Amino acid sequence: MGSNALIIYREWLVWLQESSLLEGSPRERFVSSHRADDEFVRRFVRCQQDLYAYILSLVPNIADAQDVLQETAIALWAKADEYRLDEPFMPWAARFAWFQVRKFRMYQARRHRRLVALSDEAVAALAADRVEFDGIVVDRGLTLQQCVEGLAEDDRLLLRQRYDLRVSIREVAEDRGIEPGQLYKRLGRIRQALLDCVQRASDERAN
Amino acid sequence: MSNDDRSIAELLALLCDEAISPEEMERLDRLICTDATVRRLYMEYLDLHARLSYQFHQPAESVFPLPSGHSRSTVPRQPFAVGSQSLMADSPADVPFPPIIVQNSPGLPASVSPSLSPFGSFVLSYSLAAVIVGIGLLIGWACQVSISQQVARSDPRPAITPFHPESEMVFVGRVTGMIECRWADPKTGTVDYAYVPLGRKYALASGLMEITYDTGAKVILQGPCTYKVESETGGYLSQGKVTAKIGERGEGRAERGEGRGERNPASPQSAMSNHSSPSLLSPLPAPLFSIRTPTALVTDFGTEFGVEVDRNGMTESHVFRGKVVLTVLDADKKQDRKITLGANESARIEKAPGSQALAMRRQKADLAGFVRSEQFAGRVKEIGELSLRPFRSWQAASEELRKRKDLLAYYDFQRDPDHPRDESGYELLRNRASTGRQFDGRVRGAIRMGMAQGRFAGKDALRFTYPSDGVRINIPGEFPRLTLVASISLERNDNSFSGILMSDKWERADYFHWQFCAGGKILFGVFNAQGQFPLDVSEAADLARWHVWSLVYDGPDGRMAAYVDGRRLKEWTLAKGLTLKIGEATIGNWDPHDGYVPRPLFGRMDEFAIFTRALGDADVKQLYESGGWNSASAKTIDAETEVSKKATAIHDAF
Repeated sequence: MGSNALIIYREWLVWLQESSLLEGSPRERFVSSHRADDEFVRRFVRCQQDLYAYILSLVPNIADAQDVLQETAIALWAKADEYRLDEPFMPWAARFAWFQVRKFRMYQARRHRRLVALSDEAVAALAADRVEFDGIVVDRGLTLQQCVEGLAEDDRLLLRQRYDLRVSIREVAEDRGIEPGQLYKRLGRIRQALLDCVQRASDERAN
Repeated sequence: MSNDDRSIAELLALLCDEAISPEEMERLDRLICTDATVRRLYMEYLDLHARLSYQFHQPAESVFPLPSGHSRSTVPRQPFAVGSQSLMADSPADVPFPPIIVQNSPGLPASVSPSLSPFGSFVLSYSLAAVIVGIGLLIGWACQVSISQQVARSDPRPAITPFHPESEMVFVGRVTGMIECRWADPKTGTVDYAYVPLGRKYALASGLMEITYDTGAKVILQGPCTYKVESETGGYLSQGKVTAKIGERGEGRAERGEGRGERNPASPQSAMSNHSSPSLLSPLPAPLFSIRTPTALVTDFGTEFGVEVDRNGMTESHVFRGKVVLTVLDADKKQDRKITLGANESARIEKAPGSQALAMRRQKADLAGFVRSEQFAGRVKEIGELSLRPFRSWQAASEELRKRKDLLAYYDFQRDPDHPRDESGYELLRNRASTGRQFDGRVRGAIRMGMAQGRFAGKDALRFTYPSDGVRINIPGEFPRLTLVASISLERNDNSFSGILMSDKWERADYFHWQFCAGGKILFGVFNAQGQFPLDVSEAADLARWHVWSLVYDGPDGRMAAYVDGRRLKEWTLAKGLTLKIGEATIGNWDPHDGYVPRPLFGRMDEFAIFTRALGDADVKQLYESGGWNSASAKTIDAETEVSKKATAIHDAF
């Protein structure tokens, strides 16, 4: 028995053990809804990084993007019954994310009018192009993870510090005894090196 | 370095690091609007930024393994190389990824170094081209175009998506206080802190509600009252009483740089206020706020006043301070009759005796008949203090609880001002029991501490909404007796399984699952001779409300019992002598190994306690009734429902 088959078998055993104890609803209906629920969760989990990347590209602030992601998740669950298992999950979910992005921007525009932000035109243009971009990008998260592992230890540490939301870049710079401007440049170069690595990997796969 | 000299990559780096200046943002924005190559670069860069953020927030082992067939080990890894060095071998796990050398020279801009080409060599060409095009555009923009939107209009984008879950709303203010509100028309009901969209109608049967416009104007609706928000600077009162308070010279506007007398062109009724605008020769300043009624238009010039409309549409206006202009609105909408009212003055518009024509007469001001802003604020404050009583009670009970020697772990879900995180960057849910930090929880997924309100005002909660949301704990040891207590409000109870506390090692002896199941059931399962214990709780509790769920396991005595809100629902007799293990486990989900499907709980949790003793009925009841536990359902359900609605409204108003 292959490993995947074994996993499925074991999961089925757990499910059988637990669901056989549930009384009430007709078994066929229960089985059907249970499997659909699980498949929805599977697909949701599978695309969560892509969904976050989609949102952050339109709301380029990590804390804001996390808020929008959470709102999107709530909306997706509210509409889970409308999802058809025969359609791709990400485009379906991205429609909700796009709507939440627009709501967030409306809210932001009213509450923080002086905020530095992309214009509606720019965001709309990006959202339109993003569809094509998502079609091209495959397994980018995994590739990036491998590229990050290839970074020097100090560069990985710097990235970790940068993306630890508790610490500001100024604090990291102070900690390292350098100017924030130097740190920005350093981060920029690390990102560029990673982009280069991801691009090369993508090219290799294409060939 | 000037803005024009910055490369696209530098602008994007500044954007990601939130260090971009307004001028640089404007330039980047223009390039995005006009250049598809820049958009592509932007997406590449921001996608990387997002995934780094995701991966460093959710470290490499990931929140949950991918479902079966999609685990990392099964994703095909195609060989690829940096330079000439192959990165892949037959055994991926054994071969480290080759190092990536990042150029260290601070003086060398990365974007001009071929070896550090940000997006590969062909992309570098695009980057340089984009910069040149960008500079050209900038020059063109500076010479010919003064408004960025014009650039966009010259290159209209196709419609992005036909998906319109709901029409767009323009928000003009917020509900900033409600006192005992009942609605004449439930469809017009709202909640505290909800944002107020243009065109929104409120039909209040009784109670008080305050709307604060973005301009700073405050309107207090006194039920019974029907009021519609017509513009950013006014509304239509069809019946009832309102009090309006407008700060001197448009308080709240100046700080946003808005001009006085600004009207919202989106509102068809906003033009009505124009009619009452004084001429240039008028000694009165520009109007700040207007309330229209079926028979009058009350135009304010920085003051506090009340307006009352009776069943027949007749209007009275009473001025507390400052000046208003009261204008008669006849059926033919002629507005040639108006009167200026000062402090402590009043006038009424009504039908002349024996005629359909409207007449206006001065009368004695009835200031006591209106609730004024200060009175309203005072009452709201009183209510606020009152609403915190359950929280204060809970705080005292919680302090006592954490001193108990039989308390193994206790999570109060209160936001920690220090925002503690572990070495991997996970937010920590502190264990408040004396067992200390070894049993701290790690908050995973999209949830963040402090983002949701718990079962009463002041109480924090975690709101689990994402399928990977959960709190990871690790409590080693074997426990002959255990009591689990959790305060939960479910937002979705039709999931097949919603984990409350789920051990990772399900199929190992003595590890257990405690979870909700579809159809209003709660299920305790232990992987030993005890087996599974399902219990239908749909009659005992409304899962959508806050409840305290307890489970008592007594191995030596061979007894197990389930409780809700301190009340025993069922007791089982067990084989004696079997122990329980928790180990690595997840609160609010299941972190399955080997690709099982996660079992997310969708809802909020605001307290979780684990005791090493098997509490008796009296203990469980006493625990529930002492302090805040008791407030979890019986006393504060209504308040909680309002809180829940409020939270939803805030989210909806996003």
